[in-house]
Amino acid sequence: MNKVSLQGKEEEVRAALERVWRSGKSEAFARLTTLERFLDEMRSGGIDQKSLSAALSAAHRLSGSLGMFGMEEGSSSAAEIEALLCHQTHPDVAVLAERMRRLRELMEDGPPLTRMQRKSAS
Amino acid sequence: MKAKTEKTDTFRVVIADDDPIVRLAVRSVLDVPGNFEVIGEAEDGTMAVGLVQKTSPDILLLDLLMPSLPGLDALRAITTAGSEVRTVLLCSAINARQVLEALQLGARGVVLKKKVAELLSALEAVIKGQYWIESRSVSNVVQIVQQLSAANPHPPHSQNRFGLTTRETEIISFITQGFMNRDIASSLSITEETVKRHLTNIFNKVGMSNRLELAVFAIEHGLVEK
Repeated sequence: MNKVSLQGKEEEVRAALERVWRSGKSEAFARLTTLERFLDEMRSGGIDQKSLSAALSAAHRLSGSLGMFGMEEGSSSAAEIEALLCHQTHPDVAVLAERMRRLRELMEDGPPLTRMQRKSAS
Repeated sequence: MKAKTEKTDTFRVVIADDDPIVRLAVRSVLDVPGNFEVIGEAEDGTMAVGLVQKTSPDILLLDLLMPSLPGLDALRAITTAGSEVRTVLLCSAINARQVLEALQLGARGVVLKKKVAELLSALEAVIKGQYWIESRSVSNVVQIVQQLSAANPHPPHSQNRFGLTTRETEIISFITQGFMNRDIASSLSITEETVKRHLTNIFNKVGMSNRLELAVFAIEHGLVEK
């Protein structure tokens, strides 16, 4: 990379990440669905180790990936859900439900638009 | 670090992360400047170790939390095997102690996933032989070790002195502050040769092999006042 200039690359990077989000968001929403399904199971008292592991994995992956797309609040929400599932034997269903509702809201908003897209949209 | 592919100035990269979305995002970032070639992807730590051994990449982007073998354990295995790969941790969160451990194990940088837009700058720094910690390029990693350890709770002053003399402990204190041999010699009114001799003795006593390892070891064992 000795001759590569990074000047002006930031926008390209953000645009590239935006494209990845568009192509990968169905997978991200599938992870959210896994979490919501786990919540339903909690409400019905039917959770098992397998579904807990799946929920933990989904929350962990969302926490890692959403931040990459500029959705820092979404990443934090997913991290909170992961922590609630990980550290509490009987996590508060109402608290989890609220976090998941907020997470869905943030994910549906999507990542912040890049400047390039804002320009072309205006 | 010269490219091993036919294209000049191309750096061969392995991405190790259990999340396919993350791997895809990292690939897309690396595609922007056009001189990185992703030669392999690993979805767990064991696979990462094997892939590095098999392909000898220039750069390894390594997640911390992965199935089968956590990132730091994978890094330890890679370093122990004598690989020359330059490893940059790419993780969701990391604490100061983990950064210290990673540096001790040979990592060259840490990039948080939420700051993946900095990845290219980080790789540029690492390729130039510098470190990338806390969103900036760093030349003197011992100073970073000192800063990170200052942010950590102070360990109790060690009862085990490892057979170190007072003068050796003094020298370790200078090392943890990022002093070079010349500066230590000047501060203690001794020759550089004497400093080197002391350092050799210190390395033998504590079982470390370089200044960075020694600095981390000294801080973690409370051998020096911070």
